[in-house]
Amino acid sequence: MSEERKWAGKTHGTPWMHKALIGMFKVLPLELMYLIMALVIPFYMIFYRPGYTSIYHYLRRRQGWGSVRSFFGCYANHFLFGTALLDRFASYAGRRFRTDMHNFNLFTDLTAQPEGFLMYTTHIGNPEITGYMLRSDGKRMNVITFPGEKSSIRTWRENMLGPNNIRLISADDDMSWLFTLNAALADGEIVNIHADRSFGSPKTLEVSLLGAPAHLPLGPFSLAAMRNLPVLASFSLKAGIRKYNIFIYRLDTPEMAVMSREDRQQALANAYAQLLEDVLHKHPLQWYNFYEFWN
Amino acid sequence: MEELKFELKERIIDALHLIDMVPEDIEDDAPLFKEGLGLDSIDALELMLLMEKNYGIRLSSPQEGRQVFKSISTMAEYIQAHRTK
Repeated sequence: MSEERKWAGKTHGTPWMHKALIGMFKVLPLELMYLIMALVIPFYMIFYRPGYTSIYHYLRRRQGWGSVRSFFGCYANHFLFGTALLDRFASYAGRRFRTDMHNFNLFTDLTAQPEGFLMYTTHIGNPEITGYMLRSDGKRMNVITFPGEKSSIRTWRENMLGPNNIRLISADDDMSWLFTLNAALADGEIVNIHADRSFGSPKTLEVSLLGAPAHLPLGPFSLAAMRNLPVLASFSLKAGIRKYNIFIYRLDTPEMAVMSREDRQQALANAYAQLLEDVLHKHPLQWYNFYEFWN
Repeated sequence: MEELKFELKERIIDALHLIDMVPEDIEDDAPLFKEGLGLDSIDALELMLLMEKNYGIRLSSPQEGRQVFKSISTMAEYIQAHRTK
């Protein structure tokens, strides 16, 4: 995998800055924080060029927008991404968001079954919000996290998600996490994994996404095909200052269950790409992969 | 034990689709991951499934698992001691 496609999985800033931000959320209104961020974004666009150019290319080439619309779209995209980050810290400070859940029965149906299942998330919207809402007392949810996350952020996330029967598993280089993941699935638990970025293995599956070839990580799809597991996909999309819409979809079909493993993993990846495409057509500005996703 | 190692190599070649390899190409004590066979995390999950399906062994302890997956020899020794199939 090329350097530009790698992502360290870190939240920017120092632990002191994160603590200060959480402290501010306890006293300042969310709207004021958004306003301050809106003023900072132009500088971020200027000084973090890879983020700006990758989103500009995505809007121009994949969404087919004109140059002026794409430029302002970049600003709107960065602003929405900033609100997603601020909402995370607001959550750590105890703030809550209104959420409308769509197809929640797909989640409850699977949690009632003895077998484990996979949930795919992606860097669209604010997947962490899903974790605060999808509580399942009967089945623990194991969220695979990027290994580079700072310990302070990790502690806050654990404090927030732990009461919801969610365990964070860091995908460290020593492969320990694979045994934990394997045991979780064997015990009939839920594994939540990002299905748009690689970690642990550089292998990918090629799919067609918004009219061009793109590469999704093989791992999540191989895992589902290997154990013939049910798969859900979830998206938490910003719908207002304090509101998110959470959408859940079932990805596997009865036809996939009788396919060969190779065909099933490719069929799952194709179905996921189709779903991403549908979501991105409706919510083009909530795409937060700040690197050249299509190569 | 030699028979088990050979069988294990055949199963690994089959499970991981190492189509250009034969059991004789895999050294008993060579590392399976990074150097040696150069396997990665997806391959590790395949090996866990292979252990479950063929030998009735479920690996769940990270410390133990890392020791077991060091080489063909360590895997074979563990299988011989813990197999239920």
